[in-house]
Amino acid sequence: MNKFEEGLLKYLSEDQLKKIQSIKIGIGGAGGLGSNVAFILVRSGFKNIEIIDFDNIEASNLNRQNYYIDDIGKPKAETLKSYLLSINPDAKIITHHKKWDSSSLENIFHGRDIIIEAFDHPSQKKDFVEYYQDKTDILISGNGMAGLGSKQDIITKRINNIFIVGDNVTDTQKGHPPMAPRVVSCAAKMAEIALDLSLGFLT
Amino acid sequence: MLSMKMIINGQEKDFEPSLSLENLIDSLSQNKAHVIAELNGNIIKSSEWVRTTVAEGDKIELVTFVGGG
Repeated sequence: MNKFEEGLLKYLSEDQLKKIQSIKIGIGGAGGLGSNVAFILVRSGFKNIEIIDFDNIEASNLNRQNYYIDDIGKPKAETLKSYLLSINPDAKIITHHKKWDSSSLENIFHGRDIIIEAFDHPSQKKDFVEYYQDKTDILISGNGMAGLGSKQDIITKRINNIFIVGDNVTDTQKGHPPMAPRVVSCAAKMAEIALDLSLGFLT
Repeated sequence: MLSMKMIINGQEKDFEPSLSLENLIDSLSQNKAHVIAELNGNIIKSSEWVRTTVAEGDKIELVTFVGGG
């Protein structure tokens, strides 16, 4: 057990930490939601995470994503991995720097318990939900976390094994800017669901 | 029966009888390519919408996905 994990035991029992560490997480998309969810999950004790993202870091990502100015141009998935390991060096982080498409859904996230859907495009979100609706894996999907002065609350809708988190309205493709407070709060809510499920607070 | 009542996203609405889920979603002018449909607690894949008949008293929730992640 490393120092980080010893520190976690100030807040969690050994049994709770073991439960959290036994859960295998998949994260689709390492942008605003995915990078923030990943940080929160690793800080919460999760140490087995698979990340898929095809993108490289741009200056316009730094307003909300967990990257830094020297990271511009680097691949997101691998860069995120390096930061997660700097929190918990014993975490097992698998990364794929590649584009995902709906025909390849059966080939990703094998043996994962909880999948975080954090892609940009609404059609990808729909494909994920429709694919996982008859599976036993848990899917936590982000939907609507943009906008300035938004009046819509970020809510969670649950349909069996599917959790949809967001305001369901604000659309980056319709000019709503993704800003850190709302993006991070949506990511935090998604991570909280994963943590609560892992510890049996949600069943 | 001239019309049937269903609960759509928590609101009671009247529809013509013998409606498919596909017709119903079309009539609500949703952006179908970004919509998922929950019928009485279960998600119905969009490939099944045409074959799925909705009935009096059904509870339907439609969620439209938006961009951003």
